Amino acid sequence: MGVTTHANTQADESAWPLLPEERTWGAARLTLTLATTAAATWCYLIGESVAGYLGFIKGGLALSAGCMIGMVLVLLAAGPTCVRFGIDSVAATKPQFGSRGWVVPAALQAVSIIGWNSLLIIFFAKSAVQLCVALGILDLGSHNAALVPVLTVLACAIIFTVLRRGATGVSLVSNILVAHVLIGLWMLYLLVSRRWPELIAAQPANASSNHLWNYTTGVELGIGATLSWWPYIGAMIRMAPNARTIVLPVMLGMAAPVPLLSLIGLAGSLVLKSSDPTEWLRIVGGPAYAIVSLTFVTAANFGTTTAGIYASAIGLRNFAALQKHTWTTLLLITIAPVALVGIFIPELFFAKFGNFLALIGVAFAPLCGIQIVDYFVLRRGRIDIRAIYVDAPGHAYYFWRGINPAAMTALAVGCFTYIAFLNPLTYDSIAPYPYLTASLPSASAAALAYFLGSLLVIRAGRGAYPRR
Amino acid sequence: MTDPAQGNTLSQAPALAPQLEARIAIVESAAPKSDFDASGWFWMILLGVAIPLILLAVGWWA
Repeated sequence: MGVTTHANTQADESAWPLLPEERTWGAARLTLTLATTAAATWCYLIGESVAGYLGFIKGGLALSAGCMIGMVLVLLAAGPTCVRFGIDSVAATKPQFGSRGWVVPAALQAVSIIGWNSLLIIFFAKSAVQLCVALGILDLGSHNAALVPVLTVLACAIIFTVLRRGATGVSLVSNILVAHVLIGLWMLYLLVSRRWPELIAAQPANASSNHLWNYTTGVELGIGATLSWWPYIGAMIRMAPNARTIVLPVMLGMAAPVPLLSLIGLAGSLVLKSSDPTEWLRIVGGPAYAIVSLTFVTAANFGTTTAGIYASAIGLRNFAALQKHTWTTLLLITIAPVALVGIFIPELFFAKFGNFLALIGVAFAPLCGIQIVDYFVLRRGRIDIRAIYVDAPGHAYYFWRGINPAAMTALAVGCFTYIAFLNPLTYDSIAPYPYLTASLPSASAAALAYFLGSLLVIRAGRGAYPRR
Repeated sequence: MTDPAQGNTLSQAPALAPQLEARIAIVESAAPKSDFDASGWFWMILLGVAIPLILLAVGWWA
């Protein structure tokens, strides 16, 4: 076949397309990996956000609807190209953004994943300190805060060691940690069974007088949460052999655990004014339950961070300057910013993270709209895999100087539309928002702008679009 | 699958790494010609459209 054994062993550590025999993840393995990736501390924060506007039942329904809608958008955007050719999410953007313009989605991916992972790794260190206190290994005291940077470095070192095995390392961690999803459901059962009357009677703190607005905001938060899986999904599904294998694992393994585990944060916020089960399980169940929950939180964060670092390292492989570096070097480059944030500015990062993430999330809805219209409408499924790896004038995805202005313009249009419908920092909205959400108009506006712009691109003979 | 360019010439391809070149050749010939099958579309429409629509209706009018 002309591909060396060395290349085969390194396949899941590069941005090169995977060969059919390297794509060995079946539906069960993919489901486990995706579920472990999705089920992390961010679910509590998502639940807490929804608890500001909706009660337990409606909050659960809105989040479920939103997560499913967001997930299908991500699947339609990145799924077809990634799974057909065994490439990651960033490589799949080259047909739209160009052989150089792809750095824009790559930057979004890097910033998003580094941000999420910094949050998770700090959570990991904090919960590990609390676990040591609960187990009697450490005393209560402010000096424990000094352990957070030390544990951050330790966690980064473990993740680095695990990921030196490439995607095998991600799958290995997933197998070990999948039990934490069940433990999360057990924590939810405890709270619901012991505090049901309070839970049903609890009123959301920031609810608007417009019930439709509240419900749509719950849906929007669900859509936004799952849209931020876009950077992760390509690196995972490319390990599956075909599109038939990925649909149910993605929709059930990645979309379903998020609203389910978000109910923990939702219920905790409504009843005990805290989304963090490591705090409220001590109240509800005592120290023994607190130890279990801390173990769960620590493990969950570790699993998700591992998957995130892997996806980010694969994304970096698309940079020509990094293609010849070893996998070890790439991992170090990816982990270093996360470690630095965890060591030097953990508290500041916590305080500002919500604003930072809201702005990042605005970009993923239009990105999905652009990819969907490009693949299904303009190219009708015809992607030139060779052109994805060539950056030279006259080639399919070179457009103008490697950049497709139609995609850049459409991305800006989509971001502007989102902010016009819903300001992610202040939550000010316009009249149609309660009926349309912000993500869906943003994706639609970007898709329409991309389609119209691409008509000009096609007329100029660029982009290698198929003739009609 | 390679697609004919409109007005672009692909003759002067810069050299790819030999291993990448070999991979692309294999993937070009082995990649499935279509993406999602009928079953995949069914589950996507059910889980990503129909059920969310029902949930939206329940939430909006309940």
